[in-house]
Parts: sequence; C-alpha cells; structure tokens
Amino acid sequence: MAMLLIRRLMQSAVTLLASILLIFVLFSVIPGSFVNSLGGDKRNIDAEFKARLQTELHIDEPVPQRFVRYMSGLLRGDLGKSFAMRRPVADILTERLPASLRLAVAATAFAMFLGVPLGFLAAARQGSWLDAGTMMLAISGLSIPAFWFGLLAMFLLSLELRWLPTFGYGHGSFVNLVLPAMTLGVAPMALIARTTRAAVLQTMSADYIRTARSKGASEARVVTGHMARNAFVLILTTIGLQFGSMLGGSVIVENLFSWPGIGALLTQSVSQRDIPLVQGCVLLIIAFFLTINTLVDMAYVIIDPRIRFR
Amino acid sequence: MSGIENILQVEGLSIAVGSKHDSPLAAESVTFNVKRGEIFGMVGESGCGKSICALAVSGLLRSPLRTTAGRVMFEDKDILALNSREIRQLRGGRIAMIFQEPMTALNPLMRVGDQIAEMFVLHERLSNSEARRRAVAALEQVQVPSPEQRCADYPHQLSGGMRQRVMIAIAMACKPALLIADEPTTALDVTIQAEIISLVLELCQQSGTAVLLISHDLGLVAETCNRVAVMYAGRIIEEQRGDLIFSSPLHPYTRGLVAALPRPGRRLAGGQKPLADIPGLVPPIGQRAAGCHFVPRCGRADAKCKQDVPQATQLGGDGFVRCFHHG
Amino acid sequence: MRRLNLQVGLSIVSMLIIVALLAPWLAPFHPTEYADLNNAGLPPGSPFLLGTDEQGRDVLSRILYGARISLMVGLVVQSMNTLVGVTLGVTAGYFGGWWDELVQGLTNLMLAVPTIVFALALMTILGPGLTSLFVALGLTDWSYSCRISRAQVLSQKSQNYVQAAETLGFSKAHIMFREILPNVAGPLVVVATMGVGSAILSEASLSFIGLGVVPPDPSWGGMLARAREQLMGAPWIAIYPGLALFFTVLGFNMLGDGLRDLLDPQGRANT
Repeated sequence: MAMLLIRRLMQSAVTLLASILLIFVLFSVIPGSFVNSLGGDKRNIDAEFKARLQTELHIDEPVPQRFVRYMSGLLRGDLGKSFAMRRPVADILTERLPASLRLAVAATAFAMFLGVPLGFLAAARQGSWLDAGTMMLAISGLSIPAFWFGLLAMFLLSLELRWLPTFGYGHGSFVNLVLPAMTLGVAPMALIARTTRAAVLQTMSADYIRTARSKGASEARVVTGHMARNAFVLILTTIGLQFGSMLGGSVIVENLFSWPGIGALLTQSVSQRDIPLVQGCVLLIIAFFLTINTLVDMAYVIIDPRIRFR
Repeated sequence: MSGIENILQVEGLSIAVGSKHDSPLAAESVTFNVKRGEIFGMVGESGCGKSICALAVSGLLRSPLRTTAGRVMFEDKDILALNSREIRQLRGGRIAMIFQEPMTALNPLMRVGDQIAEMFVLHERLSNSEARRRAVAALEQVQVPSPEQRCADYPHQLSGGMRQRVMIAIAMACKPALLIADEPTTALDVTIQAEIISLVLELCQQSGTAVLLISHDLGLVAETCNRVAVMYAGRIIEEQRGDLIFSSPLHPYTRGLVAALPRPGRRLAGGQKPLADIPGLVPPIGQRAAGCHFVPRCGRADAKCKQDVPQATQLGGDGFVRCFHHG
Repeated sequence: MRRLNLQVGLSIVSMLIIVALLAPWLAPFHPTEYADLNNAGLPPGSPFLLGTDEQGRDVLSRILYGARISLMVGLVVQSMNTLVGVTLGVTAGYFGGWWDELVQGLTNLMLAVPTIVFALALMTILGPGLTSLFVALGLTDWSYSCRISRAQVLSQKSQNYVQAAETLGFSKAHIMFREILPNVAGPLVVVATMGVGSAILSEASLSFIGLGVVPPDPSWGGMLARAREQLMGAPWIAIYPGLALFFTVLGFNMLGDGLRDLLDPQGRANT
C-alpha cells in the first residue's frame, strides 16, 4: 500500500512541475516574445509596462536562465514582486488565502449537506414526481449563472428581508459567509445530488444487496451497512473534485460579494496586468487543486480494499 | 400429502411483469411442493420462470414483478401474506438462498468473515466477537483451508469456488429448513462444480435441510434430486422422480431435452455424433399464445393443444405431466 | 422524460437564434443610442416593457441585442474550442507515444482548473478587448472534445476499415479526418452543444467582472454588473438579463442532454 501512495505522490509532483513550466512559458516567455498585445482596442504596450517586464521578468535574459531564476525563487518561496502593490507576491497570497479557504469549505459543506440527502431521496423515490422534480432542480442548479443567483439571493435575503449583510468579509463573522457560500455551492450541490442519485441507484441494484436481503437483514441495515459505504466510495471523487476546483471557481463569486480572497485578487491583478501576481494566483490555484486531488486518490487507496490488496 | 411432511407448498402461483391488469405472466399457476429434507429440482431454459418462482418463495420479488395469484405455504404460513418484518425473520434463518454469481453476490468492501458473522448477529443475536468465531467454524465446515486467514480476506482475493463456499457457509449458518440454490454451479469451473454440489448435498443431509435446486442442467438435476419439475414458458409441464425423468420422460419437451444431451457411445457411419435439438425458440414473456405453450415446437401438436391448456395428469407414484399426447 | 430534454432544449435554442437574428426588428428601442437620463431606472411598464437601466436605456432592447452578442461569442468560441480539441485528440489517439502523453497531461490540467482562470491568465498577456476575449475563451475549453475524440479514435483505430484504408495507402491525415472523424461526430455534437452554453456563460462572467465585452455594447453579463449597484432601487435590471442568461444556458444544456440520450442512450461514450 505504501508503494501505491508514494507512486501517486510522485505523479502529482510531476504534474505540478509540468504546470510550473506551463505557467512560466505563459507568463515569462510569451510576453517576452510578443511584446505588442493583441488587444482589439489597440492598447499597445506602453513604455513603462515594457520597462517593468524587463526588470521584473528579465526578458532580456535567455530563456533557460530565466527559468532557473524562476525555479530557484519558487523553492525559496519567492514568487516575485507585484507590479501594482510593490510587495512580495507570496506575502499577498498568504494574506488572502484564508478567506478563500473559508469560503471553499463553507460552500462544499453546503453542497454536501444539501446535495447528498437530495440525491438519496431522489433515488429512493425513483421514477416519482419527487425524483423528476429533484433532478430538474439539479439541472437548473447547474445552468444557473452563479452571479445571477448571487444577485437574486443578495436582493432577497439581504436587501428585502435584511437577514444577511450584502457583501464584504465582515471581519470573518458567520453571517457574511452565508450568501457567498450558498452562491458558490449551488452548482456543486446540483452535481453532488446527481452523482449521489446515480451512485445509490447503481449500488441498490447490485447483487450483494439482494444477498443482504436474503440474509434477512432489515432495509435499514441494508442501507446503512451495505449500500452507504459502497455508494460513498463513488461520491467521494465528486465531492473532492468540487472542493479542489473551488479556489479557482470562486473568482466570480468573490467579485460579486467583495470577498477578499484569491479569486478577487486574480481579477484585480488581471485588470492591472500585474503579471507576477497573476502568475502567483494561477500557480496557487493549480497547486491547491493538485493537492486535493492527490489526497482524494490516496484516500481511495485506503478505503477501497480492491486497490489496497491486489 | 400432509402439511407436516411438506416444508414448502406452492399452489397456483402466478407472477406478472408490470403493474397493469393485463400485464404478461412470467409464471403461470405454478404448483409444486418440497418435502422435509428432500432435494427438489426445477429445470428449464432461461426465461422459463424458475428463478422468478424462487424469488417469490423467499419474498424477494421486486417491481415490476408481482404475484397475481396463488399461495406459497412455508411450514404453516403463507409467505405472500406476511408483512415485511415477518418475512425477514424467516429469511436467512429458516429459508436461505445461494445465487449464481458469487463474485457480485458478496459485498466487495466487507471482509468475508464479517459477512458470514452478520448471519449470527442477525438471527442468533450473538456479539460481534462470538459471531466472528462462529464464522471461522462455518468456513471450516465448508472445507475452506486456513479459515481464520480467509475470514480476514476480501471477496476479490478469493477464487470463484471459494467464494461460492463462502456463500454456502452464509446460507447454512443458521441451519435453515429450506435452501434455495439458484444455478449454484453455472458460473464455476467444471472441475469445481461437482465438489460444490456434493458439499451442498452433504451439509443439507447433515442438518436435514430441504433443497430447492434450480438449474438449466438436466443432467445435474436428474443425478442429484429426489424429484424434478420441468418448467417451460412459465408453466410446470412435468414432474417426476429424479431417477425416472431421464429414463422415461413423458412430455415432448422433456423428451427433447433428454435427447439433446450429448451422450458417449453411438456414432454415425462417418464418425460424427448427431446432436439432437428442439427446433424453434422459447416464446418470450408476453408472446405466449393460448393453449399449450409448446405447440410451435411440438411434433405432436393438434387443434386441441392450440386451444386448451393441458391439465395435470397424475401418474402412478409421485408426479404428473401436462400434455394431451404424453408418453 | 428523456424526450422533454430534447424538445425543450431545441425550442429554447431556436428561440434564441430567432431573437438574435431578428433583434433589430424586434427591439422597440435602440440598445445604446436611445439613452434618456430622464427615463433612468423606470420599472417595467409601458413603453419600456422590462424597465430601463441607470442610463435610461430600454432593458428589453438591450436583452434582445445581447442575445446577438452572446450567440455570436458562444458559437465562435465553441468552434475554436472544438477545432483545437478535436485536432489534439485525434492526433493524440492516432499517433500515440509522447505526443499522446503530453496531450493527456495537458488535458487533465485544463480539466482541473476552471476555464475562467486560464482565460483570465491569457487575457493578462493579450490585453483587453474582444479579440483577446475570443482567443482566451477559445483556447481554454477544449478538454472534453479532446477526450472524446481521442477515445473514439482509440476504439476505431483497430477496426477493420481503418486497417483497410492503411493497406490501401491512404495518407494518415486522410484516414484521420475522412475515415475516423465522421464516426466521432455523435458524441462531439453533444459536447459542442453544451459547450456553446458554457462559452456564453464564460463570456457573461468575464463581462461581469469587467474584462469582457466593453460597454456600452449590451452584454448580459455587463448588464448584471451594472445592476449590482442599482439592486436596491431597480432590481429588474438584475432579474431580466439574468433570466435570459439562465434560460439560454439551460436550453443548451438540455439540448445537449437530449442529444446525448438520442445518440447514445446507453452512455457508452464517457466524458
């Protein structure tokens, strides 16, 4: 089992390295070679920007040298300095990460605690109006633009009913978390509901469920003792992937609610063409996803005996 | 036949597919009984309804299948009339089942020992540790070597034959009065089939368990069963003693089945052995005409056969046949 | 239930196309030029059926013209994505080797991170503007088409007709694009359809955060961005463009789902 875990870790390390390379090519090499932008509005690169590129990204230096410089910086924890804020990127990221993490955890919790029961209910009443209704709800949840839902929720719950604050972090109080978490969690909730329903249906029609019933087990025991574990194994991937994509997926939501996280930071730095900061954000988002993904895969090795014992 | 002697008495069981009034029948007026300790075989091709009848006996029918008529008397209770709690008390403890595919029939995420132990926890209310000890003993009884190690294994780590032994251990754990074996050896290697069957028979003899053996293998059933019922397209068309069904089959279908079995010996001039077959196909559910279902494939069918359903003609000794032109 | 997806989806998409094509005739007012501040922030009524925005422009007309922009962006972007995805997928599946490994790794990465992030990254380098928008969105959502084409190529590669074509000496390009590709079409159509909805949503999102279609052009996302400030006093500016966006994305999703059920009812082609 240890071998499997180590192998999985190595795979992730390789992917991370490949990502770093890709980001480097994107942000260091391309601007260096295509100094004139493709902007349709013909906003040509001004002299100051070009100068910045030279000093910060060292585009005069040959590519391999630049890459070595970049990598050694990464290993030291130095991600360069932000153009706009003139502070080390790493510091800025560290400041903004907790807010995004809180939002991601809250949104995932919302999605899970609503999505799993819904999916379970739909499966238990398969073919009924409840099932059809729940699945319609799910497909709507996947189609609804997050920022529209956010605006409507904002209007209803905050402006009209005055239950919740409209936007902002509010020094980390819980009420401020509710609207953004709900908005970010709607689509994942729909997906989790669908996956749960499919997993439950698939598991319930398995032969070993028939065996469990033929043993004389009560329906409750069949569900909790036999179905739940097997279905959960199927749902785990979805939940994990959703959580892993949240750091990047929160871009719009953080913008809408003025949430001081990585997503809002990314938007801000893109509009300011603050290359080192954009680079840092993208790298962080990818790294976060890879970490969660690896953890989920490793969890599988532990949970599923078919993988553990070959 | 007295009630005490029969552990299972199925009377006029009809099972439909679908919830409408005129839903097609998968099994029609099925009537048979199994005596205490007897080995009773049900034989037929896929689609004849034998497995469905087995599910009905243990109360495991799920929609769209449902019973439309008949009774299933187990000892002195009608299974079809019991509520789910009462059926559950019977299942596993008094009526046990083993299925065709041992791989998918076992929970892949649970250790084998725990799956056997579950029986003792459910029916004898033992503690977990006591149940596990009994599980090891149960594996020993089905002749699995190193039972303690095997109990800690997961199903995918065992071979097909071993898994089926586990299934047998589970089924026989509480010494049921009736064991329903639905194609228990079909998915196994030929070499292991004989072992498994003899194991089942031996255990059942020891504990006085009656066996309802369901199979499409006429040879197997004729060899092992005290009595055999032959099903065709949802009806039992013949029932005889096991040793007689081979030597003197009465229904044209049974005669066809017996003739179709490859037999060593007789060869033609060119050295080939002819394989007889029954021309045509089994009519699927919903496409079965009035009258005797075997008419399209029967060499003796006449106008009467197409119109009326042959009733059971009792034979001397145990048995009956449903044919206007039997013999 | 299955048929419902297809029918409803098709209706919605058709309606969208009709509206987009006929916007100049359907819209009661000009979307950008008719802007009378005296009429700013009026609730739905006559003659502004869905009210006016903060600049006094008719919301309904802007929504109708917004449909043109959304549809155009959606189609262009998705075509680009499909082209990139199919090229990468088919070549990866057919040639295999290190190219295949590379493409697969890249696909996994692209699938991992939301498209918005990559699009934003690209836009940083390319600068603002409509062309950058197209390039950025068109190069970031090809993962599913790539996966599907590759899977199909792999399963078709060993089929008889491919080997026959090879024996007959057809060029690799010919085999890939004239023989194998038509068989890939089915699942691709499903992915492409849902991709249009996705692209429209991405454009709206980018416009919402101010990096997409530049005002005063009527983009639904842009309208929603403006609506945020007006939310208290004029919620209709938020409701109707969003509703249009929702139905559009829903329509494409349902159409895609319906097409999938039509072309591949057992779910054999896995994304």
